[in-house]
Amino acid sequence: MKYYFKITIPVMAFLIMPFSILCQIDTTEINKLFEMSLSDLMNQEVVTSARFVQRSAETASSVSVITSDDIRNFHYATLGEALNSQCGFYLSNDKNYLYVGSRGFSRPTDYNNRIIIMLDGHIMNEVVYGSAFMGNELGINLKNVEKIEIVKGPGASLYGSGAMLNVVNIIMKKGARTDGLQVSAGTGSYGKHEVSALFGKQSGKFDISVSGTGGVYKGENYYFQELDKPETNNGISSGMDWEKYYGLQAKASSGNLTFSGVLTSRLKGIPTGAFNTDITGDVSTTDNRFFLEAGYRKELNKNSSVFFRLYYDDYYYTGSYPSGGNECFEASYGHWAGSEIQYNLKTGNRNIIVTGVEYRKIFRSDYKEWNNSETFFYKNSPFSFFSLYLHDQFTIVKKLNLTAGLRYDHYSIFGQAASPRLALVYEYSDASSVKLLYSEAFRIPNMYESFYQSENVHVSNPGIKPEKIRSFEIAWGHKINENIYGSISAYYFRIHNLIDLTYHEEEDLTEFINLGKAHASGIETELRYRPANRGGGYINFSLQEALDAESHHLLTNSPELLVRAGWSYPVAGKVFISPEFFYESGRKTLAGNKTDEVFLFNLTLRTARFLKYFDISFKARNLLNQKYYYPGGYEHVQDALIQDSRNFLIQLTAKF
Amino acid sequence: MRTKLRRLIYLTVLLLYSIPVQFFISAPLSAQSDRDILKAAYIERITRFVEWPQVNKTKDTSIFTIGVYGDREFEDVLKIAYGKRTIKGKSVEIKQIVTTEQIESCDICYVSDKMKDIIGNIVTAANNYGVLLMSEAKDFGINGVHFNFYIENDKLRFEINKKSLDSGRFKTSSLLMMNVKIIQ
Repeated sequence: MKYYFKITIPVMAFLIMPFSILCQIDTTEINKLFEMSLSDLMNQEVVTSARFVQRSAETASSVSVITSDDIRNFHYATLGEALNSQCGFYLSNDKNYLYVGSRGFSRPTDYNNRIIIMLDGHIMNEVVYGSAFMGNELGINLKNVEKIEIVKGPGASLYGSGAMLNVVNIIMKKGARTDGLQVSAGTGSYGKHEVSALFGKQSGKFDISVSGTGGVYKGENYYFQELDKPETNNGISSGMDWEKYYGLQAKASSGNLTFSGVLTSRLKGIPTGAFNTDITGDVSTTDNRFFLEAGYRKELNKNSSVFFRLYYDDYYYTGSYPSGGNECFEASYGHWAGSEIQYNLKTGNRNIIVTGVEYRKIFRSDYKEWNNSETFFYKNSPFSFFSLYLHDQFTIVKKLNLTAGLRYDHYSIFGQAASPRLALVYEYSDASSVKLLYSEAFRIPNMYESFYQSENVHVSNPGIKPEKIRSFEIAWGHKINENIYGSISAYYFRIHNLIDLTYHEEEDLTEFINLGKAHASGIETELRYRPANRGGGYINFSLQEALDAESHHLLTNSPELLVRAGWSYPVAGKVFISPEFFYESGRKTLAGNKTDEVFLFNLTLRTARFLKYFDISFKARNLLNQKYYYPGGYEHVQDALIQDSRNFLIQLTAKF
Repeated sequence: MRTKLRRLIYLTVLLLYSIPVQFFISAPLSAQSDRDILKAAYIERITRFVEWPQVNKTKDTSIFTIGVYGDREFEDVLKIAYGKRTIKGKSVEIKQIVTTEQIESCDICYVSDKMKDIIGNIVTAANNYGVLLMSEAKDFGINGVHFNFYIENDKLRFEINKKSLDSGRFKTSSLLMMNVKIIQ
């Protein structure tokens, strides 16, 4: 393996480089543009993220962007996979859900409830568990994504509860950008088949974009030594890692008015025996998500605008957890609606003010556990909250801005919280900026963490308090030239009243408690190359340490060193070769062991358009077939769970 | 452990090596640059609304020449975009400009923001020789470049320096003046 590795990588790299000078441009899009009238050209959106958005230098946060080119070049299939390329992010897969860790912090089985995911500004986290979907359960066709904006650090001063570690906003393409129909079909290893489609059109002021995705996956077979007993099928989990999913997304706008909606569903088999379930039969979860939103934006005058939105959201979850042949089910419903009014005002040359009011009513947030003869647990915990926020970006002197923000939330059942933010941003040249950032955020305990109980398994904790985070960061960004951007940031954050699942050994029970304090510090650096007209690449390093503040022990599921690198080479005029490399140091498990360090190599090949309409993409994940593990949660007998082995996917896309 | 660490170091060095190597490869284009391609299309459209002054030039009048001063990447985009296209019925030549004197041989000259120190000289030469100037650079419009592109709300717009167009004796259609920023 060692020699194989040593030989193949450099040979590939050196073979690729000379070919890049032979590359050509796909002329289909050019022809289309040259046929447009001047007014049509003026309506064409420029993918500002293909280069670096100039204003990001003065944003009061540490921000990074994944562009549609990145998604296409590296064939990112899920949001989690796309985020994994970013500085400080890392993944875990418990074979049911995909988890994203950030800056050394990822509590096992936290359902990503410390990260806010938004779709065009609409929060996708559901209200029962606060979970954010990172895998196919998100149900978004990433081909229809214009860019993914990632705000690092707490963002509760704008978005409220849950914006502890990151705020991720997925910005979908407008219909004018798609301008036609695009259909894809793919097939791959372990019985993977998927289809997706997107359609977009603009006519006058009316713009519509519709996209869908769906797929089935048979999944890998596993042998778990820890389950090697006759009652658990001798540890053999065969055909249990299956998945079926679909998602539909639509957005229509006319003038100031916008309507958007999403409908998704994902069914997933659980192959790991989590929660003492069998590893045969129907062991599965279902996640359904739906929302509708109407928004209205009005420019009042040159310096002020108002935005109003109204939304309705729905979440439905079911789980089938048979154990020892005895059936057991659980389900959750979440229904909520809300509205927000936001007012933006620029006063003189010194102040840019954003203020808003939001109200949300959670009609239903429940959890039920039952079998065919009795209900073990049921509780519905509806609540509401009201929020006020005010942000002011004040120009102290030219190029030096101070941003101060505060959000006040009042919850009907969890009390109130204030989330402040301060940022001092100095753009000392056209290409460079330094930011000093301070922010606080909180997360209210969800209904499951507060009230769930199960006899002889889990005890409820209605007195559990919200957890809070305080974060300090200094970030430096420099645009080396038009295409190369470098950044370094150092951060420290401290979490109080951390909500975590704890195992009481004497009682053999689990409970969510305010564990105490945790703190993390780290340094991140990245070099990103985004040429206007070629592939591009990135390399980033993250050195991070997340500790229990009392014991000073490293937190579980927290790698101390991350290295990510990717490069997209245009080859021979018609093909892009895009290798990606991932290194992670080992992670501490719940049993106090440490997983091995991980070294992964992915490879994507993508053709330019051929026969006018078509292109083909091929992706190999874990090409060197590394066997690697990440820590499991308390619900797993396994201390560490095996991750995906080498797998392939080939996809044909037609664009009309 | 040591083997894996060596792998990591080895790979990192390789990647760090490959990045500068790529920067030095002056490759033709491969993927689409939305902005540059859009600009290329804009140029062709704009020419439909502009009438050039009668100026005696030594150049071949059967060819429409677009010069690019200081932006190799955009020059490459134009070469591909205008491969077989014509402007005003003439075949199009894309030409690299390296001195202000060479501007005379152009019908249009696109000036990169690197030329800010000599933009005054470029404007003077262009207006003398009937060369339409275009750019995408802060303050170039106000300094006399005839058409200066800029981004507004994620869309590519352009501003027109009417005074400079008049100095160069260009005539422009009123259709062009609609919905654009006119400076001076």
